Amino acid sequence: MTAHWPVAELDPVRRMRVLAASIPGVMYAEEHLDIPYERVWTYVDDVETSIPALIADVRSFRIVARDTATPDPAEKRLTAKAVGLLGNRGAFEVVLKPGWCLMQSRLVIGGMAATPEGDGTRFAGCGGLRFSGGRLLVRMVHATGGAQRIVNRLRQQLDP
Amino acid sequence: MAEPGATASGPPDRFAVTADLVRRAQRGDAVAVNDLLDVLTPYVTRLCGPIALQDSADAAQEALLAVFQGLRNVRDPDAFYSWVRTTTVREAVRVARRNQRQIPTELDVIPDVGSPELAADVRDVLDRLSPEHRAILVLREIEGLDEKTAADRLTISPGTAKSRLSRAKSTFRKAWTS
Repeated sequence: MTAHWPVAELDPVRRMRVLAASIPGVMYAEEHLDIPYERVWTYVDDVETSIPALIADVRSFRIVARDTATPDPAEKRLTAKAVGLLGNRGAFEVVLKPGWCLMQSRLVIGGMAATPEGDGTRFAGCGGLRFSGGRLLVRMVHATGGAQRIVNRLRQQLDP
Repeated sequence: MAEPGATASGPPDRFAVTADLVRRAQRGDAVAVNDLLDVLTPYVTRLCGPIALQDSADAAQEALLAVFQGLRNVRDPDAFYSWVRTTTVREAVRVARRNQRQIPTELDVIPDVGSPELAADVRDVLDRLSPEHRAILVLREIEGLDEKTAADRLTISPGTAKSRLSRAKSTFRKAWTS
């Protein structure tokens, strides 16, 4: 009787809203971009180029390992080494699939999501700190633009 | 207790994996939250679709928000899916009620089912039920709960559950046999 019953869909931006709201201290921003989804995600998907361009504190982001044994064939699980502007280093777990990029190190969480919206794209960015006192820092960063900077930088990169 | 994506009980190791993800997600591990979303989303979207219909994407988002924001209070992983189910159905009914654009028509004025698309017919029939009727139907037909348990999940009396289910099933019977 239930084989043809409707099933809801959860696009990557809605999914990112849930993730950002469920982790205390994570800042979040989203916006419509008048840029086609394919163009946005092709750019973001190349994380070694896009992450240093979109996140101000990252100087380089290099993939050092790939886990190909994921249940979802569209998903990539990566390990990346990030170097900050001050020379600080961190290893990130990265979950990357169409419309979804989640990064986590011992200290930092970052994420981006995108879904087609009309002729453009709804794009979301989020970030947070995982250590004690991080929430206060995030609130300070949030007050100065926070996650919105990721969105603004993406627009600058793709629509100069 | 149903496993996401299935009506039958899942294998024990699946529950152990979920319990581990819940514990890690409670500690703010974003990759665990990601993986728990992978596990729960098919289950939640399957419950929200027939209850919230055109608002099902909103309902799925609201249900998952309620689940993940309530995650820190989960103490018993064995009762986790039961709690997710109750939370999801409650949120789906709430969103469907909030966004309801029209009062459902009387159940005895179902039009003939002439569409070649069975899925569209199901949707058409569901659209003529209230969110509360759709919720009891989902708990009985998708989740396989007995009437008393379904009534408990919806915090309604067994008599009300029986009456709603009878009317909802009657609607389907009329639609299929007309």
